[in-house]
Amino acid sequence: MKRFWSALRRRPIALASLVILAILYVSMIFCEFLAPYGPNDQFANHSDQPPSLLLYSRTLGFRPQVQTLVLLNDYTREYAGLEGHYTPVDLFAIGPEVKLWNLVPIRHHLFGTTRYSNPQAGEEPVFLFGTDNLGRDIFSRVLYGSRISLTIGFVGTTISLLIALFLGGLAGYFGGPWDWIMMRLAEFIILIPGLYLILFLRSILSNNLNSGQSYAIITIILSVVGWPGTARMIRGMVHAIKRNDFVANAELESMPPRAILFQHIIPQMSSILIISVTLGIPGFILGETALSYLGLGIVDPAVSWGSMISRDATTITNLVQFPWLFTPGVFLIIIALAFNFLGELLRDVADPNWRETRRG
Amino acid sequence: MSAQATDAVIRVSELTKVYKLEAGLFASASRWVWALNGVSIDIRKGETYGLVGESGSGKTTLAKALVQLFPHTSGSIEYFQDGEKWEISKANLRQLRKFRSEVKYVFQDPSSALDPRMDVLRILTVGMRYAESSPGSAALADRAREVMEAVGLRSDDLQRRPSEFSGGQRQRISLARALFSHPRALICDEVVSALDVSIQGQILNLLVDLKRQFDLSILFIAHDLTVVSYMADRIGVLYGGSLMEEAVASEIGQSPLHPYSQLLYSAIPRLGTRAPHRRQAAGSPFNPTQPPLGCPFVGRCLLEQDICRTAKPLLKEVAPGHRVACHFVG
Amino acid sequence: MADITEGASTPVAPEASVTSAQMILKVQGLTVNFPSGNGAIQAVRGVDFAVGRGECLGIVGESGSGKSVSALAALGLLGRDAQVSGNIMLKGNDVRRLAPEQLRSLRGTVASMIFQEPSRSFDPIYSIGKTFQETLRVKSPSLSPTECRDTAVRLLTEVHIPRAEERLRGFPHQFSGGMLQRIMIALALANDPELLIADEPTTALDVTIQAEIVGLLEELRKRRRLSLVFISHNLALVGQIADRIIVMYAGLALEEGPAGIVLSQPRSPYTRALLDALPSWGSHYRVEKLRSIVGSVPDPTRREPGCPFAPRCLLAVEGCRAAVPPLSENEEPDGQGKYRCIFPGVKT
Repeated sequence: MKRFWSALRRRPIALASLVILAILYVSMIFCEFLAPYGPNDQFANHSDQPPSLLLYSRTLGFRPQVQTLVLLNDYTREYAGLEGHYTPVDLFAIGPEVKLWNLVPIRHHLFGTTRYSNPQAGEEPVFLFGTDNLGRDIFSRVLYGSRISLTIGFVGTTISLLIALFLGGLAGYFGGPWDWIMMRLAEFIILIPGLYLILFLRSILSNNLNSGQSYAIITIILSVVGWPGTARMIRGMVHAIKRNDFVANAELESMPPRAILFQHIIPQMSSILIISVTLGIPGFILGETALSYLGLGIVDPAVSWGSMISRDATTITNLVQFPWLFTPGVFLIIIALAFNFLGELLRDVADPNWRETRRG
Repeated sequence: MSAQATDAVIRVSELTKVYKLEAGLFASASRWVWALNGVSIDIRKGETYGLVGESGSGKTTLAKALVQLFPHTSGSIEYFQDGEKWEISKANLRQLRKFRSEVKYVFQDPSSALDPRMDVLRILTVGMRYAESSPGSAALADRAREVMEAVGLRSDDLQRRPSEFSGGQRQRISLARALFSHPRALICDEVVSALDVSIQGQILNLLVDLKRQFDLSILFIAHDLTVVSYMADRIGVLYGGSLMEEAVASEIGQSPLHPYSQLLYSAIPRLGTRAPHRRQAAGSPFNPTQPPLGCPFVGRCLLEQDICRTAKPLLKEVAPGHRVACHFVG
Repeated sequence: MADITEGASTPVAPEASVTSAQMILKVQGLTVNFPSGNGAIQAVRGVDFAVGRGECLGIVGESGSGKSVSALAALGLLGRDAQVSGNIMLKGNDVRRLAPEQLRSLRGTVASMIFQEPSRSFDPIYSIGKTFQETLRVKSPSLSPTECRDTAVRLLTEVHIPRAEERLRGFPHQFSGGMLQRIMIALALANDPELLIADEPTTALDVTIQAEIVGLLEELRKRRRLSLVFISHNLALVGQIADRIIVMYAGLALEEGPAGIVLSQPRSPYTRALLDALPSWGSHYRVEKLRSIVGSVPDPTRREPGCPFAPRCLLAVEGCRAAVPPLSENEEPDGQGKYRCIFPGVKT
């Protein structure tokens, strides 16, 4: 533990990654509060609007505010600011009523334009990351979408790990024909290119799924595709750990094999398993993204980063005209990098032979 | 010889272990390794039997086969307990458990013999919880304290992990673990070889004390002949999977009769002597993948004749308690 | 401690019997530190030794004594993260001041080294013949394969490997440990060095093979006038071949002198304790207990002030823990021995 913190202090990038991940996951938990609007709240006259938060104007001085925008050209979706019309942005503003975690009704949000409690009223809404073509706030959608994108990584990796532990552990400990069958099965699955396998599995299922079902299906598919790699690693490690004298000692004490596996062998691998999970999460997130991008994952009205990219950021023209639509992509990159840096740190800390030397 | 007459605890008869050289589905079935070839020894009550041999002699194979870490190919291992005797490989579950609690194996390497992620208390007690009639954790903890004190460690060391101890202390923990189930016999396989010279003496003294205190029989295996001669009552010399000579320790030390024993004992560096005259490089060292035919010492023996290559010499008693396997001795 | 003064040497009285000019290896005030997260590891804390032509020096020590590190430092084989200070003269060349290419040309031609695990010292994908070729061409790049082969056969015969020509086609995994160590010795002698350092060469080998290797080294020493440094933890073994013995403990030399004297009348309590700790020939547990040494070898990352053996020494007094005892000369006429103790030669 101490090693972890001291190594963290020496690697600012990993520290930043940890901080960023912490912020994102906490935001995800409180997204109903943090997002000023719901993910599907449409603002009729504000579609394809660029990010609108300003920090200064002559009218209101230095404070967060929004300028009223007026559509100039319906075709090019060009907006112009209305001179002198500024709305302040307040903290703990009142916004649309939502239920925190579907349980607790709240009206206040972290920030907003206080008087804008009714989308049809005249005040100007604040769009931190702009809007999409239906006038929905990208910032809110990113926050709500993080619920799916961020959790699917954990859930999927955990299921995948459990399968891999079970099959790989048994194969490694007992060896023999069991080992052979397991490994050939794993290799067979690995042989098939991952993306095609995902698509294949998804396509053989019905197309009319609600968002809850599709979430579950995606998780299962990704887990099925992901377990073989980890299983092979676990099997190899169990084989190696088994050779240690303390395992022979346990056998000589008449401990049943199941107990030896769970009390002696698996704990030796705990740090490797943590790392495997950490480095596997971005893969799962991107897998969901790929599925949603191809229209086989999360569909409207549910929001995930992948589905957002799929809807809005698919053409160069779109990206050039409305670059803020790529925000979910930026977040994906940040998440993947953050998990990678953190995972690298964890891997080094867990390695008993690693020492942070001055030469590095 | 009946059990009572010689008071044997373990009797090994014609023990042979052969295993396949290659593993896996596509391995060729024709390459075998003869690790042990018809070894017969007795470990008697209250005695230390020293087993001596170089690499490839089969001494570790014998030790591990004794506790059934793997099954032997042929021959028998009999365990004598309270007038009963049973053959280990045919033992039922109850007998096997009893055997395993009364005959304990102590490993060589202090760093891999203890689970690095457990504290000492857990290391000592975790295996005991799975016995049929397991006493409660309180009783187990008491026993743990007892054995720790018996090996010269303190009871508050029970909370620490193996990495916090030195090699010598870890070997003490291994011994404590072996003592936990009130054993009758210990198999000590190179228990001091991985330790520094200045620590070896401590552990050897401890072993002698434990032996006296708990009336143990010990099979003591080491490659350092001086240490074995000190620790053992009787010594058996193994070469190439067969027993070459067996006698009381002092007798073998003063006058080894088998050509291999003579070579072995003359090779020990003794204080005050200088390097011996150069010898021809050993002809052909023992090759365990050849089927055993004749004496294993063929190729290195100065007395070698044709008969040595075709007929394996039998173990003969050439003096009371002194057995030698050589065509030209006795 | 880690003060690296270029080329400065601590003044030392000249050896009485062998002149400096004849010293193949002369080490003075050697200190080696390895920086690490918890402060430096002081592997060697000020050691002197020298080897004359045709002489054999035995270095004895347990783990953490610094014996191997000293040998590696003598040939400049320590990595860049090692802080080495002191004076190391290899046939008159200051090892620490040489450029890497100059150092490389010295190794193999002036001094060679063999190590503990012969099986790990060979590249498993090269045949023995190829390995010889590679080594011989370091000194003479233009040797033809036939010349290399002939030289290799000559060397293998010198170390008593039968059917040498056939063996050249073999690969390391086909040989036993003893054979590999002989081949290793042959390779080390390929470019006719004057000094051979053997770091625990027989520790991984059987007793009978060990005797053969030691006998071989002694024979080579006599025949080639080779200087030898034999490192081991086994006092009796070193006594078989060494002319002088230096006993190291926790980075310091606690005793040094002619082999016969060190082994029979040691001045340092540590040497005495080492000699007593293991059973002597003919003793038995029913007759006497072993005189074991309490405690354990000190941790190289935590060096205490004072004599390193004090915590375990039966003679230790307060003064022993205050400062490291200085190296004192042995005043007796058979001389040339040094030790660090304020109670030399006292029997416990």
